[in-house]
Amino acid sequence: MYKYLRIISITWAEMLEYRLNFVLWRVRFVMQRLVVYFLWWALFSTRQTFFDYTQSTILTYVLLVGIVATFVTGTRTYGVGELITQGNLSNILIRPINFFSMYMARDSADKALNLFFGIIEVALLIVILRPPLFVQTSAAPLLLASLAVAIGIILFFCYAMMHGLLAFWLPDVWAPRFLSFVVMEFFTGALFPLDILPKPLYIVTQLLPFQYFMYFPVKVYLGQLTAQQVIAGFSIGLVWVMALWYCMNLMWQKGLRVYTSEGK
Amino acid sequence: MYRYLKLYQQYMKLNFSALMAYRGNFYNDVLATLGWAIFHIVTMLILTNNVQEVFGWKTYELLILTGVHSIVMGIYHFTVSPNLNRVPNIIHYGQLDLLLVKPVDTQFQLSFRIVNYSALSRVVAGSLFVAYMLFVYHVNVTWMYIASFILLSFVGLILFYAIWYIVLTVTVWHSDLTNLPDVLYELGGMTKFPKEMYQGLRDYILFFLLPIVIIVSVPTRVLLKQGNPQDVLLLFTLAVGLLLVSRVFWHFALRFYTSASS
Repeated sequence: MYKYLRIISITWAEMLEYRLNFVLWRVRFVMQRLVVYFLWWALFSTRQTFFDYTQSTILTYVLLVGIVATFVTGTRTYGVGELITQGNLSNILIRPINFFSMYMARDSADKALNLFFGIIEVALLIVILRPPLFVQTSAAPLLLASLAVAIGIILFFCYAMMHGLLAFWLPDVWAPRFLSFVVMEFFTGALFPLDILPKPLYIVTQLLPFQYFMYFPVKVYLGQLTAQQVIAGFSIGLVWVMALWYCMNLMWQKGLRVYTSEGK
Repeated sequence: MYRYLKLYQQYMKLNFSALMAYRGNFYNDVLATLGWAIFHIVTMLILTNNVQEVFGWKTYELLILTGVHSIVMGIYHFTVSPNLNRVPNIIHYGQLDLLLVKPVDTQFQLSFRIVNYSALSRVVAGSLFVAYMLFVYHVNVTWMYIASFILLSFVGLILFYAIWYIVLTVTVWHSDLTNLPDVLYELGGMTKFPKEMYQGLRDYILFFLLPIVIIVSVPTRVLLKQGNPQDVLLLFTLAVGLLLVSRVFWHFALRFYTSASS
């Protein structure tokens, strides 16, 4: 356990090594949120409702997605592909440490830092922009939203790790990762709530794992899902957790058999 | 000038040869780039599905703006961005030395050495989409408007390049700012929305964002026969002015460059 705590502290130190560079990284996230915020603010300038959303609920959605996104999708697994293609995976394989546990520890550090700064940034945006916000006061949605975020974290870890593990077979994982990023941007609800999509497409998004990264936790927090939808959402989410966890481990086992430490 | 055109021709040939060595990567990159272009168009379609007009732009005009954004950014990613993306690392690891000793302008080498052919797919997709939208919505553009649009898009590209170069020159003093290109990519993302969307921002913020938000919207307005002479003049002035500033600033910064044990 101690070694994983050390990994967490080392990851923190790595991320904060160049402080100005880290600030620029946060500026980027704030810019992303501002663009989406002003887009919706402008869309509501001539109307009271938009796809059954009021300005208050949609702006709350946008700002909450900003926090959830940096927390759930903050990851260190983007370096796994390069680790494999450059043969540096060998250095980790010979160590008395579980590869996935190591990256989970690194991800924990990344997420903790992102959550800390994400909350500060959104709080500053709220103070400066003073948007009409919806604040959840019931305990049940808050608790369920936390569980939904936990499912999202596990799912995203498996999803991102699987992309990195593609490097066992592909010399360059940038393109598949970028393509999946594009798909994710659409199906996670980062730019807009998924329930504004046409019905057939919305049903598809309910069956995919991407909604758990942002849309589902925020909708649970907003209390806009029925009990049936919440139960169905959690059930499908748990199925995806098991499926992606199994696939990730399978890719790892198969990948190790073909790994030749080529870069070394 | 002729020497640099010949040199750029050589760069294109070399990059094409490298591309042919890894064709699988090229096809993957084309797919990813096309996916990104389609994603922007579909997102705008969904957001404007239920409205007639937003920020003073009609729905089809916003879609054309998205298509023009694909064209302009596609050309930018084809020519310049793969090069400027590497500037912080080139400076950080002292690789600029090798470029400085060559009898070729350093800014030219830093800006145009690498050519990303897969980005052309985004240009093609954007062009086809814009042409389709103009046809479907019966926007009768003459060759004069098309020529003006091409010229202003080129000017917008120069402005965007100048902004990138000025910002990245700062890495001569702070070579650890490897996240600067990511921030600049976000600025590029802001160009796909019209400047009217940002009018809620305080004046002093909008002042700094103005060069960014006119890069794509001004050529689009001209294409739609709604060009504003003041905006066109502003675009030209900013492009020429900031390009000169980028050149002067770069030469000034080189005095402070210290190699990192190359």
